[in-house]
Amino acid sequence: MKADFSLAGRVALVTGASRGIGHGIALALGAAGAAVACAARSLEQVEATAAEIAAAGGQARAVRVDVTRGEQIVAAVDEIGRALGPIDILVNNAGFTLEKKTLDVTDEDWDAVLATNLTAMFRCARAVAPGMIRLGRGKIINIGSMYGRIGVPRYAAYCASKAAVDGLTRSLAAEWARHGIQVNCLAPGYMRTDISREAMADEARRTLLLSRVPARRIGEPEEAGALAVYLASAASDFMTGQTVYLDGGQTIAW
Amino acid sequence: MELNLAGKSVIVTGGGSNIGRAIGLAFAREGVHLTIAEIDEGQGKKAVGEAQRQGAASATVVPTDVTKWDSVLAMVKDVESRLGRVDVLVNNVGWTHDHLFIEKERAEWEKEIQLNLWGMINCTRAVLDGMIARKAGAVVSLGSDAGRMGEFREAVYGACKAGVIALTKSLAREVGRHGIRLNVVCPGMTIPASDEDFGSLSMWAAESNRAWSTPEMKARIAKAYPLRRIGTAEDVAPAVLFLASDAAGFITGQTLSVSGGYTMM
Repeated sequence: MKADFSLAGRVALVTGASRGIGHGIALALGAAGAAVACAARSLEQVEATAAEIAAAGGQARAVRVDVTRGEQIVAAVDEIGRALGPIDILVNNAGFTLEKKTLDVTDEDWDAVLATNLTAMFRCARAVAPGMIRLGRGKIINIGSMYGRIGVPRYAAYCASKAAVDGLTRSLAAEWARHGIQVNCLAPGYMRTDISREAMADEARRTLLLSRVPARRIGEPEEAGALAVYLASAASDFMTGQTVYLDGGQTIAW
Repeated sequence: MELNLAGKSVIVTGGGSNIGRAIGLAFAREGVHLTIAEIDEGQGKKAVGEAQRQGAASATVVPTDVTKWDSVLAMVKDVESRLGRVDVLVNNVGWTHDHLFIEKERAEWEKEIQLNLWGMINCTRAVLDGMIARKAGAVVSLGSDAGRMGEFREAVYGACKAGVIALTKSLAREVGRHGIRLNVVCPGMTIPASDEDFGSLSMWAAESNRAWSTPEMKARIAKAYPLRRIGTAEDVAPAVLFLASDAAGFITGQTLSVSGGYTMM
């Protein structure tokens, strides 16, 4: 038997699946055989992601969820369960960055970053775990960031939220290990997304940015997808509570 | 997911026994050209036979003492002359004998440093010239949670494994610009499934390590892992395959514990 990276017969929920890393992960999980529930606030955008998966021969469903609304998460998990079956794989991806001098960060700014980047991950995990415990298996992949590890000026709320994702990952991993659930954190560095497009378009900024990455390039969403498939598959069944940096070596070189 | 490993030239050091054997066979099933660098030629030949049956494009054992630079260099030259290149090096050779630091003999420390650290320095150095020239290559080294969090009776072994992690990170910085990636996989305690899975030179043949293999001891060890079981060599192999493959093309300098949650950091 070849190494088992297949997700055939599995059901996955990917939050923030409309763009960037979440989009790349949703496509990769679909290509690996999972039925993918693609969730985001805008149904239109995730319908496009679901259509791409279907066009490639996969199974997918678009789901409208605002992850900062707890009742919507519970309703979405219920809807996915009825439409696709119990969720085996949760990819907690929805999140956003805020670049602002810390002295200018308002309480509302801070709360908004923590609500989406941290609290929503806890709520999504809490919503899917009972089903996973019933199945006796499950994979939760939390999207962290190298910013959770390194000190970046003007990103206090974002850095704090992503460091907290590491802590959430380890605690859930330890608590739910006995139920056959593995919880790991996929922590990207600079990736080719809407967020980085502007920086990469400017030559001086691009040169500076790439000089900090040992691999001398930024990552592709497809590469986040490949790592997510590994973390979602049986190939990683003995691995839990880990944070894997997908950053071309940048974190180690900081 | 396609790992695209078919046809690659892969060296697994210590590929005749236990974890190395499972890694080599997992690569074989992906259709690679497998070279098993082994000090125990007999054990290596058995693994080569299995690798051929399981789908390797080719499988060869090259008698190698990883602690000897001349031996390592000759092994790498042999691979490069047969296959033209080394795409993947798996630094797997490792050895320890559990004993309190203050009760251990200096000769045992020396042996641990030679096998666990010098072996990986030698093998990595030997493959880098070719990888730099071709602007591609992946090195996956076997570390240990002992090197991340420390462990009773494994002081010098743990120091070597921490050294392997630092070696990997430093080289990842130096050679990233040449398209070469280096990463570490840390298994937990991995007790061979049967006596057939290791040779007389394996650490598992040592009397002190045999004591881990009783059913009572295994039940106790399993409780130390959040996933409540002892890992197998087959648990470790997919992580090595993934990191060696193009699917992990943006991952370098990382240390991955595949140890049932024993270490989370």
